[in-house]
Amino acid sequence: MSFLLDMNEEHRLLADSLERMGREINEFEARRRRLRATPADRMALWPHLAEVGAFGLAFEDRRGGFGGTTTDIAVLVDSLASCLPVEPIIASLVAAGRTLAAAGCDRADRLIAALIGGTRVPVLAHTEGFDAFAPPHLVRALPIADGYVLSGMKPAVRGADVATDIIVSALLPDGAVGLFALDTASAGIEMERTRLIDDAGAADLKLNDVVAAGGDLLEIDDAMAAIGDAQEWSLMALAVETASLARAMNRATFDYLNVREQFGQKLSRFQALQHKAADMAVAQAEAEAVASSAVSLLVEMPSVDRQRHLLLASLAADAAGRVIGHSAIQLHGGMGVSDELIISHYGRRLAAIRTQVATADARLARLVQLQESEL
Amino acid sequence: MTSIDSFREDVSRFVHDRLPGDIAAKVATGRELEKDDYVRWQKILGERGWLIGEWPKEWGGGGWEPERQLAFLQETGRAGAPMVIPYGVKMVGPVIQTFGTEDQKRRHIPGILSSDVWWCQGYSEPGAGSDLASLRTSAVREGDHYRVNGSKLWTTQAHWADWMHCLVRTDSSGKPQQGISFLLIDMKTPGLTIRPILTLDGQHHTNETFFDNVMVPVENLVGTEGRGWEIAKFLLGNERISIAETGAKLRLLGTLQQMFERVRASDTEPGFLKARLQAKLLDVEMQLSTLVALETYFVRAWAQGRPSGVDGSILKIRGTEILQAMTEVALDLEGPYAAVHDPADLHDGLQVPETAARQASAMAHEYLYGRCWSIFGGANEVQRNIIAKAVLG
Ligand SMILES: Cc1cc2nc3c(=O)[nH]c(=O)nc-3n(C[C@H](O)[C@H](O)[C@H](O)COP(=O)(O)OP(=O)(O)OC[C@H]3O[C@@H](n4cnc5c(N)ncnc54)[C@H](O)[C@@H]3O)c2cc1C
Repeated sequence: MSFLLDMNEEHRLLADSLERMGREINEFEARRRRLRATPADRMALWPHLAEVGAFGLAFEDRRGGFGGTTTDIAVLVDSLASCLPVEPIIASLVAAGRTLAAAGCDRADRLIAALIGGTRVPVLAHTEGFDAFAPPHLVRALPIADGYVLSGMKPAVRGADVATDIIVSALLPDGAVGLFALDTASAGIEMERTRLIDDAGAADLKLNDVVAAGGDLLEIDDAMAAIGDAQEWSLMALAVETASLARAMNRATFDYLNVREQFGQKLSRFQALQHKAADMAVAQAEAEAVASSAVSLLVEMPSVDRQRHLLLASLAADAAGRVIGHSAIQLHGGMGVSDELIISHYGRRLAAIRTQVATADARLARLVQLQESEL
Repeated sequence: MTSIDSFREDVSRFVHDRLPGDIAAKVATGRELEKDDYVRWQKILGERGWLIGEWPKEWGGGGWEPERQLAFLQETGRAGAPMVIPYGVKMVGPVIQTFGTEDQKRRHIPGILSSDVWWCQGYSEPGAGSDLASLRTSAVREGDHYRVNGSKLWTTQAHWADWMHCLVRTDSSGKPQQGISFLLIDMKTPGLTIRPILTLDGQHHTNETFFDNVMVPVENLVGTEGRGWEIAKFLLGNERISIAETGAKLRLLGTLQQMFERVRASDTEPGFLKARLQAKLLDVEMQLSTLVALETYFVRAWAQGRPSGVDGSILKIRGTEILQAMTEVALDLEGPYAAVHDPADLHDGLQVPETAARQASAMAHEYLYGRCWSIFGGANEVQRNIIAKAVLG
């Protein structure tokens, strides 16, 4: 861990065991085989994570966990990043987890307990278009006698392929937004599964008149605020993951430049490559700095400033990730574009991170919106 | 209308009329082409006399001047025709015509022209990439044969190929470049095996090729022993007109513009986001139109006697980096689907309907495979070294 995280002894112990688990279960070839199998196995780490109690890290004591701080999440994400988990850790623990934690109802409590225990996997399904920060308009919920009927579509929901439950945002008739917890086995839920660029799974989630019980509507004061909070925490986690991947990619690339010889000398002797390596080191330092600031500002800042700074940090992390992802591949030559080396897998994960929660353009558009609304 | 303009129209109409519908549909939807697709199209071009337009008339080619070659490449690429696979007609064919024996010509040229014999290029090795001259695969003369041992890496389409044109070391005593020879190797020769390598796009384009006491008849040596380096340089020098590949890029730009129109038409996406995407699209359009202008300018200047010097390196760098920029914009235009990439989508039958996710897979494929372009064909760092050396001395 080379960037500042305020870790205690428990964090350190957990980080060690997560790193060891990642190395063993996600050993490169084993992971690659699982992901290329038909059907692909995208949940191999999950039971092991549950077993060491990793999921409790995402929740406070009063919700049955033993963590719930940004540092807790950062430790979890950072310890696992370099073993490239495709399991929906951020989509489930952070995104769905934060919305559930914002709810005060039985349904949410039970789901959180099952999530911590590893028996249920809820993921958040909110985004409907480019603008991930807008309220839903495609998925609508109409009240019926003792519940609601939901219909509409959520595109390419990360983790939906392995989810047991979907926390889905829907527009209510009065113009408010509701968050519903739906069992993915419910009648009327249709999933068009696909694969993502980082080998994780996703699905177009179609709701064809799905009947939800009244208790499935989570009791949350302001659903859009809870979604916003989940997005901020997710962006924080993604910034941390970017920093971890930056570190891993740089280490691998610098090692490679010091081993690979062409024209009778180490690649690291060529000044053009030295300068690229220097730029990668600069980008890594920036990625670490913005990750560490995201971890602290999420707790310290008042909410309006917080979103603005977090969006800026996430854009900075993306920019650093892009420099490192592309340069690391380029400097490995053909080996960099081979599926047989971890470098291209790291590069693909960075490409996925740049789209997770919202694309860079949508984040920037959100910043513009925030600024305009202040004027 | 100049004769080049009417030629452009002829080419574009020809693709429209003659490109088999299934191939056109595969290209339009970003599906991967199979060997048979390339062969069928090359045969159609061959019948029209357009497979070897750039070959001199005395070899049976069209004797096209560079401007016409460029027009052909651009129009076929833009109209969605598959590229002509270079290893036969563009690489080993001209080599055999220039350096080969009459016997080699008789034996190999017909199969190249009919596209019935498929070739691959075995130059790079595990230890010899940018520094190609350090290659070590050895060929030792034993009577009427060379005994070949070693391995080649990144042998694209070796799994489709009947023959390989291969650089081997016949002498390691002098300067590395001097001991290299150019061999034609039948892929069915005992001792030759290939191992598939998947690239980051999840596809099987390329391979590792192993030679375990592969016996190659001496009549398969092109030129004389030790001339391999000179021949390889001759062959790579032929690439300057096709290297920027503007036809396919113009087509991709058209796709991006259509994708943007769909975003623009949405009444729910924020205006700023649309404007941002539009500006990004215009930026790559500006870069691409500059590339087209640059290519046209060079081709005209070469015709007037400008030495091509580092022009090929300039086109390689800009062409590949513009492609990469375009593919990043492609992902930006995918919005909620920007991370979707299922390599299997590119092999689905044409009856499988188009969906947003399928299109996203095709765009992510462009993005990922796009990373290869700045590495193969002389990595961009090496191209920059060449330019720097030329301008700084
Ligand atoms: C998809 C794909 C298909 C290919 N198909 C074929 C094929 O069909 N046949 C074939 O023979 N080859 C093929 N190649 C091989 C290709 O030509 C080589 O990958 C390329 O020459 C680079 O060599 P390398 O991969 O060994 O990288 P290296 O030479 O090891 O380079 C690694 C990095 O170091 C940089 N570098 C190297 N030397 C210098 C220097 N002097 N100064 C500054 N930077 C330097 C490079 O630019 C690169 O960034 C293919 C490659 C790929 C990726």
